[in-house]
Amino acid sequence: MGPMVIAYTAITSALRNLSASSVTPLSLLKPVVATVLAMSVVGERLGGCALWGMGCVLISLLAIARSL
Amino acid sequence: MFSLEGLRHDEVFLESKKCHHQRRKNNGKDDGRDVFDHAQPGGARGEIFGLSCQFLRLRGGLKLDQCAENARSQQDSGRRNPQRQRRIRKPELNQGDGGDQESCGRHLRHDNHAAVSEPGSVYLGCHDVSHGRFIRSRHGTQNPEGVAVHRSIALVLLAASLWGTTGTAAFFLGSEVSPAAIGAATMGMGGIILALVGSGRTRAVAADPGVRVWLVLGAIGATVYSLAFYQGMASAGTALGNIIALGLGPLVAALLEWVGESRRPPLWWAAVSGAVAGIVLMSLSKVELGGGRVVDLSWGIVCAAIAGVSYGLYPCVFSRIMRAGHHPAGVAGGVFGVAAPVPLLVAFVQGGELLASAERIGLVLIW
Repeated sequence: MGPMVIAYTAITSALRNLSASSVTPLSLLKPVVATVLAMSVVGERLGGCALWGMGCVLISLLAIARSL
Repeated sequence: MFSLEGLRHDEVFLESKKCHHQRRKNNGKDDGRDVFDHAQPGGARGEIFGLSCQFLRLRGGLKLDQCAENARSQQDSGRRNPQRQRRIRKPELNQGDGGDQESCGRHLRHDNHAAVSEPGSVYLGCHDVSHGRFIRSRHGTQNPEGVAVHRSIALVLLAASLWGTTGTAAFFLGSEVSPAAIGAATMGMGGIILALVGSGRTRAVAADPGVRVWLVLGAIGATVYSLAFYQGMASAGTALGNIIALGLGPLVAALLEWVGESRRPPLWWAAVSGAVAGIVLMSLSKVELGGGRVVDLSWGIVCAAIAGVSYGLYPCVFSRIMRAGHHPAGVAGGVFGVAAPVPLLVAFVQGGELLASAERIGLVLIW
């Protein structure tokens, strides 16, 4: 609950100075942090296919964020 | 460079999009393009340039009625919301920095918008409804907002990093706790807190009948997101769940943004194909979850995808409500506050395990 409240409060206040299109690429940090934590702390093991798939999704996201 | 300090993002957002697409369609050199190309990338400035671009088109005499229409629609929405109407003051044009408005080549003035321009120097103005100020700027002034922009970027990065920890926190709650209950408890309590943080602004959003449809749509999105996202992370793993849900979100948001247009940028199709290919690759992969949990990859991916689609509704809903003149804090409070009762009910019914130990209660409350 803490992260949710802090995150939404931070993002809504940041939206006064930043456009939605510049917030999108910045928020890509979230899945990256989540993946790093999942693999290091939780101990998830992903096959090679899954890693390639994650790469595909992240690249598509970057592309869409740049075109917004 | 132009600068318009304190101008609200949502008031100029629409203009920016219009202008941007106009520029693309024209594909030629006009005033709008020229000025837009001088814009610094990113930040509210780009959007302010959208506004300036529109006014520059006014200078060219292309669409003189556009400004009047804008001002009228703002007045109309002000009438629908009397509390807001009171905050709107008549703009006062600053006479000091560039000469008398009457001497300018072209002059437009309405309650909320004004644009004064003359060859070689352009004045822009917009009434800031939230602060009751009238702001204007001229070609050649420096932008004083760099510090605020950097602080905002740091805030977003902090928010995204914190947010990335939720899956790991949910893992430490143990596998016997229902994932839907974790998501529901977080969304329910978080929604109430956000509604309280927004206080008067939340009430203004909730009382505005003009945005009710968007409010309900956003609340449904938030409820579905909270239930599906945690289930997806539990079944397909924190890593895949996050990547799928947060990867699809912006794609859906972009689709909704371009929904009114006849043609979508080809890049959108490329990005969607890339994302779908990525998800197919993930579903073919072997995944081992930590703590000896059972993987249900296809169910997890479906849940994460549903979460992603509902997550993609947020930007559209938020910008629609903000465009009606509401403060961002009120919008977040309104959407998540309206969403709170259903998740709270789910948490109440399913979340008995959440209260099984003091550690779990603490973890849910803080994290």
